[in-house]
Amino acid sequence: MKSREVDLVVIGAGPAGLAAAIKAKERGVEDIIVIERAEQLGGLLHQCIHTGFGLQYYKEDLTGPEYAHRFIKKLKNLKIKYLLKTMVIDISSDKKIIAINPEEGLLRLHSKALILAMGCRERSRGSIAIPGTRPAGIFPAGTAQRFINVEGFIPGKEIVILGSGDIGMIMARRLTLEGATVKAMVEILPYVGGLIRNEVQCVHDFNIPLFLEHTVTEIHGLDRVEAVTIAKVDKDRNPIPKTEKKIKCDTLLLSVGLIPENELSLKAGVELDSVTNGPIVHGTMETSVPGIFACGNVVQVHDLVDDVTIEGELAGASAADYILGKVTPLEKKIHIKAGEGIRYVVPQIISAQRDVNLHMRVLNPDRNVTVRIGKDLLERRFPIVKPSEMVKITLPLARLRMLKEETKELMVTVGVDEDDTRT
Amino acid sequence: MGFGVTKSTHSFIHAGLPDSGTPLTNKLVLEGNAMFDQLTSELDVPFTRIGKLFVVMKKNEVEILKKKKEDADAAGVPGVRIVNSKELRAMEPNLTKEAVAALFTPTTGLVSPWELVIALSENAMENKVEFMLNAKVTGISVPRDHTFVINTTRGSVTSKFLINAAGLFADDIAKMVGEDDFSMVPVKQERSILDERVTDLVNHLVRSPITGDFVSPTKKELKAKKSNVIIGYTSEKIEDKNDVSTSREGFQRVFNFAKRMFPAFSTKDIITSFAGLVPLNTRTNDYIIEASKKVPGFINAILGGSGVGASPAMAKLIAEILADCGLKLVPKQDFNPYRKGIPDFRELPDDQKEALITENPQYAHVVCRCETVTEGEIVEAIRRGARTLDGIKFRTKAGMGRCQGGFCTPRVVQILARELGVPVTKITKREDNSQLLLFKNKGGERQNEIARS
Amino acid sequence: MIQEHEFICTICPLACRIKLIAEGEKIINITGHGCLRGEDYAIQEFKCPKRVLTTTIRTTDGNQPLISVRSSKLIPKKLLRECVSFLAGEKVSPPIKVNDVVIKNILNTEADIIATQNLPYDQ
Repeated sequence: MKSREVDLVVIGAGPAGLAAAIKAKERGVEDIIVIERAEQLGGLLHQCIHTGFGLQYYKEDLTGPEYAHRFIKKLKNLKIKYLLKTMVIDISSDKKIIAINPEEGLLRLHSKALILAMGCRERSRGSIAIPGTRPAGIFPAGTAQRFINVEGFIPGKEIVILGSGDIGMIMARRLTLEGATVKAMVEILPYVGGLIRNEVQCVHDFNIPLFLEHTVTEIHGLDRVEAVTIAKVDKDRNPIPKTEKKIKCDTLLLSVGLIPENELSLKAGVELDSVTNGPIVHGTMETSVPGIFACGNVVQVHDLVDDVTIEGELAGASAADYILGKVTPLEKKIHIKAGEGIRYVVPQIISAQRDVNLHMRVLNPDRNVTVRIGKDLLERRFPIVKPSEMVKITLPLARLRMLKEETKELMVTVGVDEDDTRT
Repeated sequence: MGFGVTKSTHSFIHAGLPDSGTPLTNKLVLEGNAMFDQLTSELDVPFTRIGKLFVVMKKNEVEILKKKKEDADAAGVPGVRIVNSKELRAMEPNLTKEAVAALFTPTTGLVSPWELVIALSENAMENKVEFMLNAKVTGISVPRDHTFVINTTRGSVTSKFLINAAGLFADDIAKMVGEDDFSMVPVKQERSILDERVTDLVNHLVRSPITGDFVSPTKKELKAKKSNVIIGYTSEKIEDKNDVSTSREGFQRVFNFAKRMFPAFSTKDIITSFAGLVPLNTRTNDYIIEASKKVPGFINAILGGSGVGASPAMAKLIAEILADCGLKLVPKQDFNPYRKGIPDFRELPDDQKEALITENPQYAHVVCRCETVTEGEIVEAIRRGARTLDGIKFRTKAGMGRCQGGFCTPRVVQILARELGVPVTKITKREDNSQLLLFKNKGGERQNEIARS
Repeated sequence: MIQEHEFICTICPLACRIKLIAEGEKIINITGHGCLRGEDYAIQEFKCPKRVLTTTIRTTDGNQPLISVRSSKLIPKKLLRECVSFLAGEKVSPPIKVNDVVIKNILNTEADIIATQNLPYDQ
């Protein structure tokens, strides 16, 4: 039984884990191991062959693999150790890890600090309970993406896509380019779920029939998908009778939501936020377990990989400080609460010792709104907000110092400007 | 095998509470229940006596429980007793406070029916039973010398004795020999599986004695760290023997009952839903386990609800019937009752994990991350006969977890293709020619094909 | 003949809905844009919409059957499918590094097709 004491273990070598490991090394941590279950570094960037990555971080429009490549190069130049095809199968709150891979068998590691960067998984057909038969030909969009972009197989000829998030729209374009027919994109909300850029370049460009305020109410076909029934939905997202339409197809792709993958976090005793389904984190990206940090999609589902990188760097820097004994004890804990109009805010706990970047999502799309932090600590106006576009606000230390000593909580709210009479 | 009705149920090995009008069923279920410890131990199939609670919500419904207990005692079902609300609270702390009392049957057991069938078939093969798979029976003739000639899509077989165990399609088989006094009617049951994170909320099979709706853990062994919760039972007679579709109404009914019983559940906990069919015969409500009076040598072995639990006792009965029919039965000297299942990597203690990995490094490559299923288990399943995605799923549980195969499907498909020596495009979900998963892309052929069509 | 075209601008999150009125190929008026970049966007979309092409090419390496590629420049939108069809007949062999040109000047668009992954991946 191989057992090793290391300084830092990073679980996941996607953009979050890579950024965290690199930053930790640059900050002086020597003995780092990055553990990755796939056959290559880069996480899901490997199969995201489209552009849109790095617009903020590099001011360039890169493909997923190109973005990953830059960090992989840095990782290798820094000689950071990594293990591929390695699965963490157990983890404890005292940072003991058991991982396995075919080369080394069972590995026991004990690290001074741990960074969780496992990303998320896709919602399945079962988790949204679409009635009907259970034929072959139903795939989460990301699984289909892997088949097409990494392995070279097309899932079908006539496709219906449920969900208009970015992955759904990207796949609509990809499938059309590779010769399939996308017969419909079905979206339950009255607006498209992903970036406008994707709506234009994937849905409009290829004339994909888009059905907003619709959902799939039944799947047909005994052995293979033969058709789906879609129907319009009302304000409560219930199907409206007599609006059903049957669409012949052989494949149904699902782009119906991502859920942070926190099985390991739970094993490590980390407390989760019931709205984000990710760990509750401090401004330093530390979780409720001292020395265990988290970053990337495992904390909250991000829209832009650039934000994932920045979060990863923050976690890496914090973990480095922790390992090297440079941590300033927390002076206070202020809980950030999601108030009116806000679905969630990350980080959930801050101290008034450093600048904080707050990430949040609104519940409803709106125009000309003001986001307020605390009763009158900080407010920012936004011409447009959408649930599908993360809102980021920096809370500077100077402002935080203005808080009263006893402040234990900061409420974040969003509302339409009261004095705004512009149309 | 076991991919029809059997795989779509989740078997409760019932205690044997008698129903009126079904004496044979009552007898076989009760007898069979007692045989399960030994059977599953020999076959290396997980089995637990989970215990069942018939829960009532109104004081006047306690009468129903009292009657059931009387019948149970009279029939000899062991340990049945009424549980008051205080004890119920202790047994099921997360059960709704609305529940007033329950009837507890401690011998009710839980087994995974497809695991049982797979184990039985492997053991049968080990003991030299021949299987002809993918052989659809097209006709049976009974020549004068009492030898059946059974014609199938894969050739003919002759036999002096014929046991009709065709379940939902037993009427079709019986008609082929001139027995047409019954039909088989499918009764649909809908089920949902809840995420393993809610398992700690439920300790026993909890059921309504009035509607039959239920909530149960899927495993509750001392050693099993993971278990799901299954909820279900929307029983309706339907026409189509191939209809296993789920419905919005069925799903809602099943979930509403579960949530009423365990208020902590939420729809976010659902990971998948499915439907199964229970075959009922139209002649009687009871099982039909008997030698045909019209056709010598033809034996009907038709079970129904609770059938899995009754099956070992039924088998004994069939053996007696065969002997009565004139078949000379001599116990096999070299009969091997034992069968070892595919190692359940996830459940092994660390030192056994290591030993397995040292012997075969494929056990160190985790393919299904939700259920921690390794390549070693998948390859072993293929060695034992799995050829499809579902074959792997039911033998190793890869794909049954909360992501429902989103992560492992591409990898399982590649392993199947490699081990079976076939192109990836020939791998199917179930055993059927029409269920292609994928089409090859690039290399010219796909582009041309789509351009042409 | 006067025609009205509508474009949703993708330059910034405001996503202005821009109306472009033209007679044949002659642009008469552009309204709805919030900035000059939007105006340029609409003009380009009207004259010759261009996109980056991202796709995959088959390799001769059994362990890595595809590599991902991109066009080095924007390609006219109307040529995207033809480019993909053309590339479907191509195969590349290792070693290839990120940014290597694998096809020069695809279909006379003046854009090259460059690798966005290494082949083999781990180098």
